[in-house]
Amino acid sequence: MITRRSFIKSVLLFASTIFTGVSIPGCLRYPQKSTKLLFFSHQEYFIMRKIASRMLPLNPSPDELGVADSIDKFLISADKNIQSQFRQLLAVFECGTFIFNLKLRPFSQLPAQEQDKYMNSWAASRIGFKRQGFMALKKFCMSNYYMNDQTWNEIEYKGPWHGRKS
Amino acid sequence: MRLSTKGHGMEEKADICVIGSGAGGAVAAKELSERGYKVILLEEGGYYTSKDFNQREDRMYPLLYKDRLAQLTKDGAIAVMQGRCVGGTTVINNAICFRPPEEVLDIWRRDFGVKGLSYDELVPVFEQVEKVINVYQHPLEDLNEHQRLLYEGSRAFGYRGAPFMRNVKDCVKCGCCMVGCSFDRKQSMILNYIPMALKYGTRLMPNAKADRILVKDGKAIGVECSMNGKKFRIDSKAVVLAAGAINSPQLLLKSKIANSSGEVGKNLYFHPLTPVVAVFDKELKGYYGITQSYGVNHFSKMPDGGFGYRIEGVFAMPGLAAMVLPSFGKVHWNIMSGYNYMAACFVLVHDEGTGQVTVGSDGRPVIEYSVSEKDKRKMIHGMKEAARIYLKAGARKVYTTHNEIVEIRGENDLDLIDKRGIEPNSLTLISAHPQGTCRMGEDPKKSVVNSRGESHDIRNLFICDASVHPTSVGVNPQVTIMAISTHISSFIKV
Repeated sequence: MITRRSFIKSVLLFASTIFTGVSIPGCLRYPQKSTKLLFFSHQEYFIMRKIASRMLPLNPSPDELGVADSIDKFLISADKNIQSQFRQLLAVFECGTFIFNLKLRPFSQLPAQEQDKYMNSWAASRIGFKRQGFMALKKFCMSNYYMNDQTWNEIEYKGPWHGRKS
Repeated sequence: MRLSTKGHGMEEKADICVIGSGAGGAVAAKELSERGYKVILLEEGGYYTSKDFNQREDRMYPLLYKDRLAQLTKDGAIAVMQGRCVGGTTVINNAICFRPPEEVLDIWRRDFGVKGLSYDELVPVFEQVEKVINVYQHPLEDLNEHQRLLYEGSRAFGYRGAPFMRNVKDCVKCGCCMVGCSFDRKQSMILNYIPMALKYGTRLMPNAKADRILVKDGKAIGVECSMNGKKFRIDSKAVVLAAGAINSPQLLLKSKIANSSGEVGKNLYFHPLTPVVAVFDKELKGYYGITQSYGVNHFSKMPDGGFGYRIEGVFAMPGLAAMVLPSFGKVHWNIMSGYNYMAACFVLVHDEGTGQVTVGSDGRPVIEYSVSEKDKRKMIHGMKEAARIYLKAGARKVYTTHNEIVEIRGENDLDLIDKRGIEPNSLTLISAHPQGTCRMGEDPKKSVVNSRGESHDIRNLFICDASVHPTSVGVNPQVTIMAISTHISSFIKV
């Protein structure tokens, strides 16, 4: 009998295998970042940037504000459990397209519209760990974007009391 | 001032070692040192004052909050917001003050045999605490525009409510309570009980983590601690544990003590809450003014006589607001771009279901809590009432925080809330008031401490934080914690 735990384990294992597969040089191209990453691998960093680009507005862009870099900085000092869970999450999210949606490409290689659809399927999923994964990715993206004062003009926020524009 | 931040020897000595400097520990340290005891007050977080509070979310959440505002239940479904700094959660709360409902204290007496904590017995203690922290009743004139809409909408239905009582002095209404008061107006522990404790000779050790409570011959004899990676030990005649409802049971479980009842870590109450956001045509700039100033208490009891929920007006700074708002991408942006036109509140459930705290293989607390079916029904009822209130006040649309968007433009849309329901990670759930986990009672088989706050198992080990609450109190608990800590401290003799 397939229990919830064994199902999740199978999905994680399968996704990790695919993730390892797609990470082999020449299999799929994940661009290298020129500056040093603290926590993410180049693949993970690229996936995170793609996720942020669908979660967040275009102006200013998450790349301009370094959203993925901020998450990288946060995670390097997070506890080991959170670190390993986040790595697993990125692997499953990237390769879940093969498992859950029978697509032939991972999330980061899908067209934008397909990426949104896929993300929505996680947000509204009946499977608890997909909703949990969506929430985690969303919180990281939203907080690291909107805490940055360069986004405040766009929402017409005048800033906190100290330095508030009248 | 006796503030210790460095240069500890391998051993320190005190009459009493207090663990945790929040609403429970700060009060105990003051009360005990005032009586002449040599007290050491340990705090895991740093010591920060108004000079450090720069009102920036990106700097203050990592500085002042447990896990940098990322403390979650095991399933990730509930964010558990607690302070991690000298003064604890009193530094980052919205300064709301309630005495516990008389009915709750009656339940503690009737169902758990708690003695000496009836409402009448506690009145002088409440008065004492309220005087020290300067509890102030805000008049209606103090409500900002978005809180006034909650007031007007609820009044139109005839719902009971009132402006909050808060521990503030001449509040400047900057709307930044949750990142520490930059103006020293919120009367958190760092402005009263802690300075008083220091004046009476307490030694405060910030950044000092209690790793284990030491016990010999059935008696607490000190605490093993670490600071900046260095271990040291405090020998004391008594230990007062006040690390909060998550970390107090964690420390007891790690120390493998005081758990003959098997109740340590169990009976975790949460006051689970979920936000509701309304968008109006007029600009409200909800971030101007008091962060929380009006509450609807009409539903604190449900028609079946059971405990209900409260609706409390609130406004979050952009980072936190964005995390809470529904959906992502364009849909999220469409809502977020109306930040200046928003009013917001949360539905805070007086929970009857419980969870538990255990210790993971890495020694960290593992928090488990599922909202019970009964509490879900209350929360859904509350979301609907909050939406109706805002619609009555003229809102163009109202949103819950469900991942799958719930946009309410009229009464007919309210059924959507039932349809979405409450499942883990299907909407934003937060707890800012964890309680229980080391419950108080007179039966050693069913409780962890007695009515004087002393462990049933270990002599001279006292607990005086929200973990001793036998049930949730149903209202913002800081005054209850301070009063009980005052009460328990009066019994401590070494």
